[in-house]
Amino acid sequence: MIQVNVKCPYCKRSLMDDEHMIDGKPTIKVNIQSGNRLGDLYLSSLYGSYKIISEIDFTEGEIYIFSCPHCNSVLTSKNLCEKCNAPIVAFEFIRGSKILICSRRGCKKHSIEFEDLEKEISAFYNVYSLFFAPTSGKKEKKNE
Amino acid sequence: MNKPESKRKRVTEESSNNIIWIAISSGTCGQARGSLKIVEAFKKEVGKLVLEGQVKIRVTGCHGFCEAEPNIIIFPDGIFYQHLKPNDTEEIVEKTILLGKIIDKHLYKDPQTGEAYTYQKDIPFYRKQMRLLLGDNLLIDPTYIEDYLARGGYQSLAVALERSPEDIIKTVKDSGLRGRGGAGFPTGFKWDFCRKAKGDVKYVICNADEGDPGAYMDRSLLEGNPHSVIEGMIIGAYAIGAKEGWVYVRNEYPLAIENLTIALEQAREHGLLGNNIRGSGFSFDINISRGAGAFVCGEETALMFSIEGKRGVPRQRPPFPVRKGLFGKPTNINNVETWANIPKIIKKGADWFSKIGTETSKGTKIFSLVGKVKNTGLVEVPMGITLREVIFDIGGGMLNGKGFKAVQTGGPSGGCIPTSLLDLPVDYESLTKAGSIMGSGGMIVMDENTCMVDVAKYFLNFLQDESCGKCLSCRKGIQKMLEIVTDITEGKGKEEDLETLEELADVVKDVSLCGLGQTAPNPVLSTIRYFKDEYLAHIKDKKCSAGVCKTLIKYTIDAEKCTGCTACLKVCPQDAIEGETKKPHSIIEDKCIKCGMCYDICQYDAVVIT
Amino acid sequence: MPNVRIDGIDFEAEEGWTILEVAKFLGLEIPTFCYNEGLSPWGGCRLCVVEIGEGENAKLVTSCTYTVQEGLNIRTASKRVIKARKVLIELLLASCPSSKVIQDLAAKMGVESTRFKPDWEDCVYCGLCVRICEEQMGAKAIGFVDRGGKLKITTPFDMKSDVCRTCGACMYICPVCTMRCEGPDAESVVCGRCYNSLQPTCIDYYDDYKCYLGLTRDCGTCIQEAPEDKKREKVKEGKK
Repeated sequence: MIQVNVKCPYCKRSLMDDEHMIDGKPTIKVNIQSGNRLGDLYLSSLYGSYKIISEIDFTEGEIYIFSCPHCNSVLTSKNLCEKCNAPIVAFEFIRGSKILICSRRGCKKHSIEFEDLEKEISAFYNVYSLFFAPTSGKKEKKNE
Repeated sequence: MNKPESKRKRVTEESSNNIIWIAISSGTCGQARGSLKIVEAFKKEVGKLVLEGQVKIRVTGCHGFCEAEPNIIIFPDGIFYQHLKPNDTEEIVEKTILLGKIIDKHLYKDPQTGEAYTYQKDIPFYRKQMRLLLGDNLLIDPTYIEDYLARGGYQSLAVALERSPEDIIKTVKDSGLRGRGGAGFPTGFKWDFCRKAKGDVKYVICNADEGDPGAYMDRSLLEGNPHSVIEGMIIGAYAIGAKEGWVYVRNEYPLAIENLTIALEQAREHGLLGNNIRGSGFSFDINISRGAGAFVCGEETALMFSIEGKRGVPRQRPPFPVRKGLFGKPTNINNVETWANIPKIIKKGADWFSKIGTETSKGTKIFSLVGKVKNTGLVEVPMGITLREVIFDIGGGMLNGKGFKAVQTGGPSGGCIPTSLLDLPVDYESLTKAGSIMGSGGMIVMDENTCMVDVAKYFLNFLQDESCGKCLSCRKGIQKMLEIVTDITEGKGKEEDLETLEELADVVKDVSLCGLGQTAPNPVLSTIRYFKDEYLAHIKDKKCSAGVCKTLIKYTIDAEKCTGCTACLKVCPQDAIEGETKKPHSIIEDKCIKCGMCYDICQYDAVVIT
Repeated sequence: MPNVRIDGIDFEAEEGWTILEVAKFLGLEIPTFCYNEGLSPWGGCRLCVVEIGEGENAKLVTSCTYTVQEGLNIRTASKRVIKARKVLIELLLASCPSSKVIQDLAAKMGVESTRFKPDWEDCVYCGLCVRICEEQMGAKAIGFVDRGGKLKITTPFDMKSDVCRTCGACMYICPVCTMRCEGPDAESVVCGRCYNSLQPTCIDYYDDYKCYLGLTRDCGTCIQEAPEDKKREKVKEGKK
């Protein structure tokens, strides 16, 4: 699975939070709003994982508004989800590429848009290189 | 023109007319145990029958249960007979074929309970597997495309040619299929990259250079069901937009090369390869390229250089083969097992496939279960099954009641997994976290009489010969690691050696260009991680508790158990045993070369290795 | 024009430049062994490795072969890199201690000993001879043969070459067979005299300082044969 490090596309500050971890990795922290309920939402940074941490009770099928915790910009883009027509939320990934997720709770539509094919190939091969980075092996040793 | 559909119909008619057929397992493993003589014997016996037309013989590929070779299955009932000899065939034809009587002595029996199993599908070895790919090996003669067609072969291709290439790639992506060659790269994405890469000329390659010692699943797939791989490649080429493909198969697999050549010819005759396949407008053909004995040519960039006629030396990536590969063109290269999965995924759909396995590792994987385990053979199981289930439930547990020590997975690039991790689920991520890799699927089971330092030495020795030699770190690093480990096995180890080994191993891993160098230290690192005391015992106490490292062990005769039968005395090649008849013998330590002949021949367990 | 960050410096490189070329342009020193400016890069000695990428995806690549891309983050002397280079030098020393080039590299990197058994070989398979024969002399008389422990550099089928013009380019460029260490400690596995002594070696034996270029130690006098009797004295004093 690819781990994504995302930024707010407007203020360019990192949205990563390593105080809350999911799947053993830092999470993506956003402000979430529905009606007048406001709260924090922590998404898993593993592309394809749907796990979240949040104090809010989410209602299945409802659309939520995502905003940046630093600059308060609303992260919703103009595009609509192909599956359920809810607005698509966009995060900036590596330079020029975007992570897109659907703002409707329960809809699994998500995708990565890369600036060019070369970057996409490199991103995938970095994750799926046969010999997962030796640093992860070293970390294991320290724990034993 | 040979229409696949008409052939299909004819064969299915055949099977519905109560014809009895004998499937004789004749992959390389079966042939090594004499299966071809069994085939000849059956042909002779059946030839004598009046009802000759009602009994057919099918020479198939490997049935997977290699411990039971030579074995046969009598259809339609599915009776399984094992460990056969040519002169058993007369009785089998007389009793089982003609009279329907089961011959007990040929049945498989559970080593623990003694229970006999008549039908192949009931045998625990088979029952607990999910044989999506290998199952067809029982039913197909690889030299008859008709058999493959009768099992629904090339139907997936027909379906695929009606769909768009993008749609096919989406299905493969959604299925979650990951490369079975070891790296586990998501296949659908690789195809997508290759399709999107710039250029009109693209290639597909099947990597059949299976080099890991102990791994032979690709061999069995190519020998027993080459059409499944061919069909997968045609579908892939269609999806990617390639007009030409290669199967790079190691030269040490002559039967696989032969069966593949025949299969390709027959596919061409049926219009399934070549120009305008099935009238779709899509043209594609496959060449065979043979290896020349180099393990490093299993690495994709070295493989492509080898096909081009150059030295098989890996190159830097990027650029990746999907963008710039064979002859500089976008190339999609997949392993044999990956290609073999494609027809099933197209036929049954991505949802079906993604329900098998775990969250991140979908589908089944074929493992070659070998070593000190009772049921050796090829095991196909869904991802996520535990090592314990594979080794003890399917594998039947340890041989000769010895204790389990470790299982080595992933070949020379992998590592050893100890008892404490036996409940690890078998999938890409879990094995990597434990310090090993899935690799091509080799699983070597080791018992208490395996010296882990010796295991590290074995793999380092293998890799030293197979390194292409370009990188200083790989060529020299492996040599120096081998020197240090050899010193340890000879009692010349020093305290600092472990630290030196680890530091050198880390650097070789970090700095080498290709997978061979990057994973060469894995056997050493994983054995140090889990079996450090064994290393320390070799270094500090100069002891090999497994009784393997010759310099550190001693052969003696227990005077109380020795009956003075002189059996060992006669067999010792060095005349190192002395003693009179009926009196306890003794071994002259200076002359003893620790060959183990006396240990093997003594019926009283009087020879002791310390 | 790819923008890269190398050792914290933001730089706009030319299209197609390698990391090593960028480093040389900026004056950042990266040790090399099998690299030669006039020949194509080989990437075999692995000495020029640098760390690229971030976090878990950081990896080591050879700077002589890696073309820069937009957004690349390069560190030429991170902890991982230095550790790798030191071990690689130890391996080089163990392969061929009699090479001055290797001894100088060792001294520069501060490697004072090697933990591996010295092999005293006369080839480290850097491929410079192969490349110069093919690319500069146009003869392609020698090449790599076989692999692993049996790797060697020779003519096809070890037969006398028709195309070899005995130009000597291969000998000229070889860092191991021609530039032998001939200092006072030449027989030891790690000598390093030329770089490590505070005093030029010539002063140990001669009354006059022989280094014409001052203390840059590039004059080559250090490799002149020390007078026999002085050599024996030095050896008695005790090797390093």
